[in-house]
Amino acid sequence: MIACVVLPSPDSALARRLFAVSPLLQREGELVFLDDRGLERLHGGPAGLFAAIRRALAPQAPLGLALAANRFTAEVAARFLRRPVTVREGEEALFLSRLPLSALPLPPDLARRLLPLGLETLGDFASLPSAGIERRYGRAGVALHRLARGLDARGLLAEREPQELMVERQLESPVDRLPLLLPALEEALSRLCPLLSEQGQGATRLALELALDDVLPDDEAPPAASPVTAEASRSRSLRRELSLPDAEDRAPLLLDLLRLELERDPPGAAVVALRLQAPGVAPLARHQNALFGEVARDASRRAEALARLAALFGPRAVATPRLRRAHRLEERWEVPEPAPAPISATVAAARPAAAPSPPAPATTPMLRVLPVPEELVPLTVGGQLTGFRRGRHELRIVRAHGPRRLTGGWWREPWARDEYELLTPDGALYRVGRDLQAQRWLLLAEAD
Amino acid sequence: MPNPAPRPPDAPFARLPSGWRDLDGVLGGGWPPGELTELVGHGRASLALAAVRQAQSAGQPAAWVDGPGGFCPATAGVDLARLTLVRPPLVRPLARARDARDARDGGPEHRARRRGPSSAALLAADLLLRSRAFGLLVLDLPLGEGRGAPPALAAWFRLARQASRAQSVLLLLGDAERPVAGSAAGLTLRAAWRHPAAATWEPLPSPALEVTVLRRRGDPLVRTVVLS
Repeated sequence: MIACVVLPSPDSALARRLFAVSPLLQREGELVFLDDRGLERLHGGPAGLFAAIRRALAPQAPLGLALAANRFTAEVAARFLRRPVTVREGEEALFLSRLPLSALPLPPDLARRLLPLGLETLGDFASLPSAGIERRYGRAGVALHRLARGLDARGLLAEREPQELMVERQLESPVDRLPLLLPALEEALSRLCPLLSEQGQGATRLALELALDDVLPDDEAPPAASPVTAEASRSRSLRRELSLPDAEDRAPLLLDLLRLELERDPPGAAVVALRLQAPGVAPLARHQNALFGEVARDASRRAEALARLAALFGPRAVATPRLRRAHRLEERWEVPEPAPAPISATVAAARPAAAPSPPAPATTPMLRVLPVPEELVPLTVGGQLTGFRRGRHELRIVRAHGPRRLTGGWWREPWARDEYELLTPDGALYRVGRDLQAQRWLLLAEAD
Repeated sequence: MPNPAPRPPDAPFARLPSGWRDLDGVLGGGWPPGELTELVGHGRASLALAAVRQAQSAGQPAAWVDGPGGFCPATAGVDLARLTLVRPPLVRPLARARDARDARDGGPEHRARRRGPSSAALLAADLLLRSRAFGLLVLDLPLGEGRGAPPALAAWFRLARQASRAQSVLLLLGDAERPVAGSAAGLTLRAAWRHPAAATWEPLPSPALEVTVLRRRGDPLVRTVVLS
């Protein structure tokens, strides 16, 4: 028998509660189908099953509840009747015959052809001869005719019960050194990673929550004004989240990344418990080289290297810059804050996409932009600008191109600057700017 | 017991075209994979950028380790979504007591900081090469006057060995004036801009790039090609 439950909303968390009733479950929007084969003694018949469903969904209540021998009958009964219904096996056709024809999933063109015949109920449609239905309405008509007669051979495409990807561990004594914490992390990962692997999944985000001891060691007591440590001590827990470029289920690698993350920014207090979660997961992609072709580069190893670098230097060190519109060259891109789960983007990026053929290489110099513009001292001869002093070096001007006047920031901090390209005797090309507000010369970029 | 079928050797990685036929002729078909290639002079970064474009066109993953922090994404003209751009941190003072304790415990970033401004970039390059997942790696180091001593020769040999294992094209942009990798580099080129003697600079004329082979294993030492 198949039970159909109409939920108040297509809420997957609500639907997952029904795994407590039956391990075989299929969701379709706000509908949930449960297979109750073998569960009669557990629930004690239809009334017990309905009670178990209500208990699982409490405090919410199902909008419809029905039990029938097949999916279609159970679904129609649950949708059309507001009370719990049990349709006994063999009585499907009789039950359906009184329901309106709109209970069938009629395609619009078939509905236009059937309604003029004066058919109002499923019983009217079921009473038509099968041979005539096939001749006039084809195979789609026959399938609907079978449903109207209470014949539905579709089974359930049962889902797996999602396992909570979380591991907790209470430490025997407070741990205030990373080498002592690592075995506990390793043990937690050795339990978490098999859970991921058996589902064919890998973590794209890994969250580590550390419960901290409220007593700090004397020699490491932070100054009172240290906001981060004060916050950590007050909440007595610390959360670190790794955002991985690709799905990963290898415990040694994840342990290494967690170690680097904790080395980069230690907890600041002794750890008494830890909780490891995988809030983001994605299917694992395995690399397979061709037998005879050129060896392809392994995207997962690339993702691993990036994850290590992100753990080592911080996620911004490997973030892809985003271009934006701006007047000043040094403002024409930004490094975005690391966002969790950009997996679709990274997979697309990792794939050797068919790129457009590169433009013919022109000897356009690459500009090295100085992270902080460097102030130059102008050199003049007889009031004529002849060059600049940059540290101990002299940049004598052989040729110059410019100026280009750039202005901006009119509503906040107005700025204006003239930009020039300068050629020096050694063939080096520089971009310099004259800050018209501060009357300073700045070295902005160097052609390389 | 039947003999197992002989395993076919891995197909070697092909040379990466530079983008200029003349330069490919000098290089023997393109940038050599599995070797450290050092580029010096003004124009070296433009050569490396052209190599990135070629690698992206060939579907080879490319990475750029931007040690000095001067890579300009707005004018680079490469597909940023498919370029792994790594900006290792520059050295900063150990301000907090916790940092000092980490430094004492020997966290990797602190170990890198202690060794000088280019060590973080070297560490990043080493990690990327070890993955063997990149066809091209450009290592741009903050070397030159006032930026501390260059890494020891052993560091370049280690890097060259990693490039050999990964069969990646490794382009080193070190000091603009003189080579630093010595005999660890299989190939050393000097680039220099040659500006046309135009009467006016309006519009700005495109310069030519002169490339000279300074050092090469096996083949003639000095050979110059002008790219335009």
